[in-house]
Parts: sequence; structure tokens; C-alpha cells
Amino acid sequence: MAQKEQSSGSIFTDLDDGSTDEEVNKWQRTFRLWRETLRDHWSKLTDELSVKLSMLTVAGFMLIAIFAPYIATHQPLQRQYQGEAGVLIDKWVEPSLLGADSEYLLGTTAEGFDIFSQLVYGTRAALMVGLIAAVFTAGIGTLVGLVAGYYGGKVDDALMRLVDFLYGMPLLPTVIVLVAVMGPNLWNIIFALIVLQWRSTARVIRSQSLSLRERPFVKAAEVAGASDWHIISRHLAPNVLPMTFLYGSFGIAWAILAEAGVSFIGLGDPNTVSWGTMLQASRAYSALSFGAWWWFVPPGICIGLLVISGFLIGRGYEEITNPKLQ
Amino acid sequence: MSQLEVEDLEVYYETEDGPAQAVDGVSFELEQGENLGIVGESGCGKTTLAKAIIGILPDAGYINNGSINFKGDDLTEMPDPQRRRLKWEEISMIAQSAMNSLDPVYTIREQIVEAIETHRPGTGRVESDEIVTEMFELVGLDPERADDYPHQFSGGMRQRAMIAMALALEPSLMLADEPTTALDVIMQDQILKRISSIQEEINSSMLVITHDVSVVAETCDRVIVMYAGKVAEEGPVEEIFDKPYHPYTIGLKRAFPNIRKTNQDLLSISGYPPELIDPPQGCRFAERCPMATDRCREEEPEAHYKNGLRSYCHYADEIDVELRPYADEPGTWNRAAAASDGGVEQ
Amino acid sequence: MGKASFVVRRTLQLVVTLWAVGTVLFGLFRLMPGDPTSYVVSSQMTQEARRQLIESYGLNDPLHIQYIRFLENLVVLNFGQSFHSNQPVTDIIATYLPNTLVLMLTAFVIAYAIGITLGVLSGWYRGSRFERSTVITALTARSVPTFYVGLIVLWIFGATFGVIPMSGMTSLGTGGANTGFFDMVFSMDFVRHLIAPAAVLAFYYMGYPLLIMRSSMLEVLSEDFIDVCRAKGLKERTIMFKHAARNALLPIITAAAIALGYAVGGSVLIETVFAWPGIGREMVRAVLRRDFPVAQGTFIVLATTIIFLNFLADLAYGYLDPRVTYD
Repeated sequence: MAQKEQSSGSIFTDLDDGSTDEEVNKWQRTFRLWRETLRDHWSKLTDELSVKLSMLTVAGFMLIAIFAPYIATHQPLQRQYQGEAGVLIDKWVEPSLLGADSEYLLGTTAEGFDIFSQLVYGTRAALMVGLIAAVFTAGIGTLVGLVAGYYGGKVDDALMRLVDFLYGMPLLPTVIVLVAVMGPNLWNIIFALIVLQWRSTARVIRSQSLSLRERPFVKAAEVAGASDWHIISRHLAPNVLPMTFLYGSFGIAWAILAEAGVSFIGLGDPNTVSWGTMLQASRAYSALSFGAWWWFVPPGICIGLLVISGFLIGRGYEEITNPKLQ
Repeated sequence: MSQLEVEDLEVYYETEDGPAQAVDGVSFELEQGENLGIVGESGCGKTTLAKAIIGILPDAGYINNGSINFKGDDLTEMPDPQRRRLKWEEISMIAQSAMNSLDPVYTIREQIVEAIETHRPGTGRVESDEIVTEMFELVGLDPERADDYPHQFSGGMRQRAMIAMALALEPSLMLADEPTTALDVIMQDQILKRISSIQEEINSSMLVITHDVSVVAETCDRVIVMYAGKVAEEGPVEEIFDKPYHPYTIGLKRAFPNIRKTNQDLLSISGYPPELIDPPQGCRFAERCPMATDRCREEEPEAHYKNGLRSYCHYADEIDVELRPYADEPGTWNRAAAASDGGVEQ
Repeated sequence: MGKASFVVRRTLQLVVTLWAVGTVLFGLFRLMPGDPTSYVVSSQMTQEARRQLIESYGLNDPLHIQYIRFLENLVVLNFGQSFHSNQPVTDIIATYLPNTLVLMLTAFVIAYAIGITLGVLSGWYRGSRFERSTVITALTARSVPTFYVGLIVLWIFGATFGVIPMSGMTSLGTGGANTGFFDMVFSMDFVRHLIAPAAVLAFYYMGYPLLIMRSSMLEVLSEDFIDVCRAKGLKERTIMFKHAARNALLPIITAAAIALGYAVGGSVLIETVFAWPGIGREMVRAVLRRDFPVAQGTFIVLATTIIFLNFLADLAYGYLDPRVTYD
């Protein structure tokens, strides 16, 4: 129609970084290719308002996590005592935000911990779990998917059998059992999540990889004698990248929800405060019946905000991978 | 009175940057039993024109102005229920034979019967099946296969199934949208011949929308050449192919291989069609035209009548001298894109 | 290669996966720290009695013997006896599984009926405010933890307004050892207990089919045959349901079967919040108290359900989409 026929959002294009062979070495070219791909995504992503807001939200939480000691009013797991004498535990205090005469913004728990500080420090646990789990699940999944899809045959069979097996294990129960075996500890929770969650990324990337493999530009590269690694890193990987990031973003969301669930059951890390452990504690002490909603309502809202941001960013990538949805 | 009279039709699409003027003032007439081809490169508006006539413009598309008169009634002013009654019964469509032009989860028979039932309710199983069989035989398909699913048919068979479905209600007007694009040359020939003979039998008219000039040459009585939403030239097929009077048509001719002059190089017209959102002021083709002058860039050309053709070029009268002798030189068509002010150079 | 060999191959895969899961399970539970015998054996017991008990549970035998015995038992569905209550695990499963199923299926049916319909409509009316708000709601429903929604619902409707019961499946005093399952299910008391957890679950489940149906609709609506349907003069409603939705539905069927599998695994949380006596909650309790046999048995049931549903999903898709060939 207009001046130039814009390749209508098909992600399956062999991107050209416009350099000649002589000038620049292989690694630099691969790097440049990736950088260009990422830049292209970024502009498409940030076009969408919901994605912009989500990124701001995540950035906001990250700032809170980093500057937690300056934002929180107390230590999250430090029992607060009344007055100078420090004998009576300051528990079940109502929030000053609601007008109560107290020094605690969101009140205290049944054990005398400051809820606001717990909320603030909880961002650290959430982001740690979310980001680490996401990076590994997306990373491992993509790697496995690329290899299985590209090499096909026995390699593909073996890897997909493994994935099939992983799909047979119910997510939450397995994580629960693993954490019970390894001990209730944030790192174990993250590890348990990673062990299972890469399965979905692997499947999807594999099928993309399979179809990409048959594309003329890949066949051409093979005929030209390009090495496997070259083809995978230069031709396949940049094209599956949107999908990887999609699953990475979703991965953040799933991981945070899973950690909340595991903590809620009682297998959370007893030495770290997370929004999930807050919810568990509130239930253990029947905050519900006492109407101390300021204890259990805020953590859930925080979880919801961070998780929906993950989903919205992922959906932003969905538009890149599937132009028909635009 | 002609069967179809399109007058000054303007069909626009809403876009973020403003309305895209896909069809911008197109007029033509079609007589009963006539075949009219509409050719042009992609984006010229021919598909939008077709969709407007059939009544399947997408949500973003709308008729800004003009009329489409079918047997005396203006389709643009018709209320929806009435329009829907006309669809398929009077005006049907032969879509491309692409894999998904037929619903993949229903059999061919079911889809044809659906058309019959919608417009002639109470037709009954037996009679519907008879129509299906008749149509299949007409297009050269084995009626036993009517209960197959679309994916079980080959490309050529699917195209024929589409034709069978389009004919089922014996419409007065058929619109064929790129009827042979997905087919190989031999199949193309067969299909075209079939369509022609069926048409003669039921005396229906046909609009053939295509970018493939050879299809038009085979099947049509008259042709419209469209460019950037407007009619460039219109007239009987033989005259247009023999001696066109619009620079664009002349250029198009040279872009297709001539079987008699096998040594000729193909020429392409360099440059690209203009933006439809903010189209240029004067003649749409001015930018790529070897004969373009300042007048061309400012004033839209009116219809000139030469050789039985209706041509929209200021210099239609001069074409015999200024352009036709040089039409075979590649330089002619390249210079236009590079030229700053117009004027024909020797 | 036809349907028959496809089914056979998938069935074999099913069996192999089940075996793999069982084996991993075996390994995991044996690795769990904490002495299970301490739950079984009371400190009052003599050394001798304790040793006898341990022997009878076979906890002293070498690992591979335990493994073989485990596999043998698995095949005949003998999951052993609970360390905690001495009841046969199969009995325990039989008691709690139906409760989970009732809850899950009720929520599922509601969720999918609503979700699919809303998905069709939001796909059809793309760009409208209706579509935008349904999508946001669906996303929010999936972003907030189910147990959190459960907590809020319990707080507002239970603690504050007293409209719903605070926990459990039945009230104290109703039912009893002799009430049959179906009698219980159809009682008003049961329904009162079911509403809240089922609603909370349905709210969560609904998002997935809604979003998938919507994307599927968008894909289908861009296909050529939709144009042909319009050209044929079919009514909008006919096109939306008979053609667009019918095609868009295909991926949902498999997605639904798979989602049901996940739902079973996720039942853990909701059952805990509402103290619903289901198999998920039972599994967690068993894990926390190191009651191996129960934990194992319940886990296997959950895993089998998922694997089996995935298997059904595979078969269902092949049946529904005439284009699928069996290779």
C-alpha cells in the first residue's frame, strides 16, 4: 500500500544487521542481531499502555525492594514492645493509617511484628522468587526447546519424554513435597519451581523451533555450511525470543503465586518475610475472625499487582508473536 | 438499464492516522450477461471495491459517498435485512481457493445447503441434495465427494467447490476475487473455461478481480484498470490490450511476457503507488509517469474518449506520439521516478 | 497408521509416565527428613515393640526391596496404611476424593460455561468497552491468589455478615456415619457450604477459557471463510456461533482437559482455606506429618488424574478436528 511494504509483523524473518563479513567478527554480529531484535520488541511493547503501566509497577516494586531498609519503619521480624519498659508485646495494634493512636502504619500482627515493614520487606522475597525463577524457567526451557526442535530425532524424543513426565507431576503438590524434603527455605522453593516450570516454555519453543527449521533461510544456511551453533544463535534464537520473554513474564507471575501458595500452606521460609507467609500467619492467628483486615488484605493486593503486571507484559509479547491479535 | 451501475463510489477505511481512501470516486456500468475485469496492483482498491459491492466491508470500512445501483436499487441505501436477502441469491462470490475460504469443520455439502436453506427456507433435504449434485456436475466434481471436508480436496477441487457453491442459487452477478491465484497454469485454464461456459448457460454477469492480466484477457468482455483507488482506464478488452491510452496501462502491458516476442525483457514501472491516507492532489500516477507535467501534479484528469476507451489522462491525445514509441525502452519508466519536473524527454 | 495405533501408543506413554512418576515419588518420600516412625510409635513403647512395628512397615529393608514392593503394591492399588491413623490409604482416598471432585467439577462447569460465552462475545465485539473490561477482570481473577480471594470472601460474607459457613463441607450435627454420599450432596446444608468455595474457584478458573476463547475467536475471525459466510447473507448470530465459535472451540477442548488436571493439583489451597475435606488438603496434612503412605497415595491419585486427562485431551482433539491426521 504505502511507500514500503512493511513486513506485517511476522517474527520469522532473517534479520539483517547490515554489516559485511570482513568488518566485524562473528560474536559481535550475533550480539548486534540480538540487540536489534530486543530494541524492535521494546518499541512495540511500550506502545501499549497496559505494558507501560506494568513495567512502571514492577520498577516501583523493585525500588521498594532495594530501598526497603529506608522505607520500612521497623525490622519486619522484630517483636515490638509497648512503651519504654519493653515487657508487654505490642500485638494486634490497629493501623495508624486508619486513625488509630499508634506508631504503626498498618498495625502489628498477633506476634507483635510491624505489618507495614513486613509488607515492604516482602517485596524482596517476591521479586527474588519471581525474577530468578522466571529467568531460569524461560532460559532452560528455551535452550531445551531450541535443541530439541533443531536436532529432532532421538534428542527430541528423549527431551520431550522428560517434558511429558514433568507435565505429569501436579505443580503445587510436587513443589510442596520437594520443599518438605529439602527444607522450607526461599532458595529451595525457587529451585523446586524451576525444576518443574521450564516444561511449558520448552514445549512451546520446541514447536516454534521445529517450524522455523523448515524455513528457507535456515535451509539455506545449512547448505552454506553454517555450524549448528551459528544457526541456532543467529537464526532460530532471535526469532523465538519474543516467546521466551512471554514465558519469562508469565513465569514471574506463576512463581510469585506458587510461592504464596507454598508459604500459605505452612512451608514458607520461617526466616524470611514474604507476602505468602504474612497471609499464612494471619490465618494461623485467625485475623479473619478478629476482623484485622489490615493484616491480610494488603499482602494480597501486592501479590495481585505484581502478578498482573507480569501477565500484562507477557501479553504485550503475545501481540508481537501473533500479529493477528493486534 | 444496466444490471450494475456504480457511480462515484468512495469507500474509505478508518485508521489511526485518518481515513484511507481506498476507493476514491469510481464509476462504471455492467450489463446483464457481461464479464467485466478489474485489474490493478495490490492496494489499488479493487478488492475493497468488490467487498463494497458484495457487502462484506470490515468494521473499519465505510461508504463515504456514491452509489451502487443493482437492478435499479441502491445497495448503499438498502436496509440490512433486504441487503442480506440479495446476498448470494442475486450477488454471489467466488473466493480464492485458499485453504480457509471454506469452513474447515463442515462438509462441502453442509456449506452449500446452508446457503440454500438461508435464502430458500423449506427447500427440503431431497431438493437441496439435488442442487448440490447438479452443481458438482456442472463444475466437474464427483458428487460422491460432497460429504468430504475442505482439507480433503486439492486446491483445484476446492476452487471448483467454491464455484459450485457460488452458483447454487443461480445468481445474476458473480464476483470472482483472484479466482486462479492459487492454481497452476493448466488448472487455471480449465477453471476459466468452465466458468465461461457456465456463465453462458445461466446468463449471469461476472466481475473478475485480479492482478493477473492474462486471466482478464481470457474471460472478460471489458476491463477496468484501477490505480490508487481510481479508474485509470476502461473499455473493451481487445482495444485496451491492443492500444491503451493511459500511461499506466501501457506500462502494465510491458510488464507481462508476450509469447510472440520471447526475447523482450520485462519492464517494471519503478516507484510505488501513493499513500491512500493523504493522496496527492493531481493525477495519482504522476509520480511514476514518464509524461507527467506540473499540470498532472495539480489537476486531476478527466475522462478522455479514444478508441472506444475511457481514459483518465490529460495527455491521452498525445500518447500516440509522446509515449507509445518509447514504451519499449526501460529508460522511459525509470526516468519518471528520478525526474524532478515533468515533461517528456527524447 | 491410524487411530488404533495412535491410541495404543498414547496408552503406552501413559503407563510409562505413571511409572516414572511413581518412581520419583518413591525416591522423594524416602528422602524426606524426619523419622516417620516417631509418628507411629509412641514413646511408651518398648524397644522390642518399636522394632517389630518398624519391621512390619518394612522400613528397615534395603531400598531396592522396598522399591519392588512399592511397585507391586502400586499395581494392585495397595497404598498401605496411614502411619497416623492406621486406616488403609485407599479408604482415606475413597473418603476424600469425591469431596474434591464435587467441588472441582461444580466450579469447573460454571467457570467454563461463563468463560467460553464471555470469550466468544469479547472476541466478536473486539475493541469495545465490554471486551476491555472482561479481559481485565479475567486477568485480575488469575492474578490474585485463589486462597486470598477465599480469605476475603470468608471475611466479608462469613465473619462480617454471617451469610456463609466459615469452614468445612457440612455442619456439625448434620450427616453422620450413616449418611450416604448422595444424600449429603443434595442437602441444603451441603449446598450452603459449597457455594463460597465453588464460587471462588469458578472466578479463578473462568479467566483461562475466556482469554483462550477470545484469542481463538480473533484468529478465526480473520480467516477467509468468515467473509464468505457474510457474503452468503447469514445472520450475524449464526456466523458468530455456528462458524466462528465452532472453529474457535477446538483449542478450548484440549485446554479444558489440561486445565482440569491442573485444577486437581491446585485444589490444595482452596481446600485449606475453606477447610474442605478434600484430597488436596489431606495430602498437605500428610506431608506435614510425614505420613508417607497417605502422602504417596494422594499424590499418585493427583498425578494420575492429570496424566489421564492429558491423554483424553490428546484423543479429544483428534476426534474434534477433522484435519488432524494420526502419524
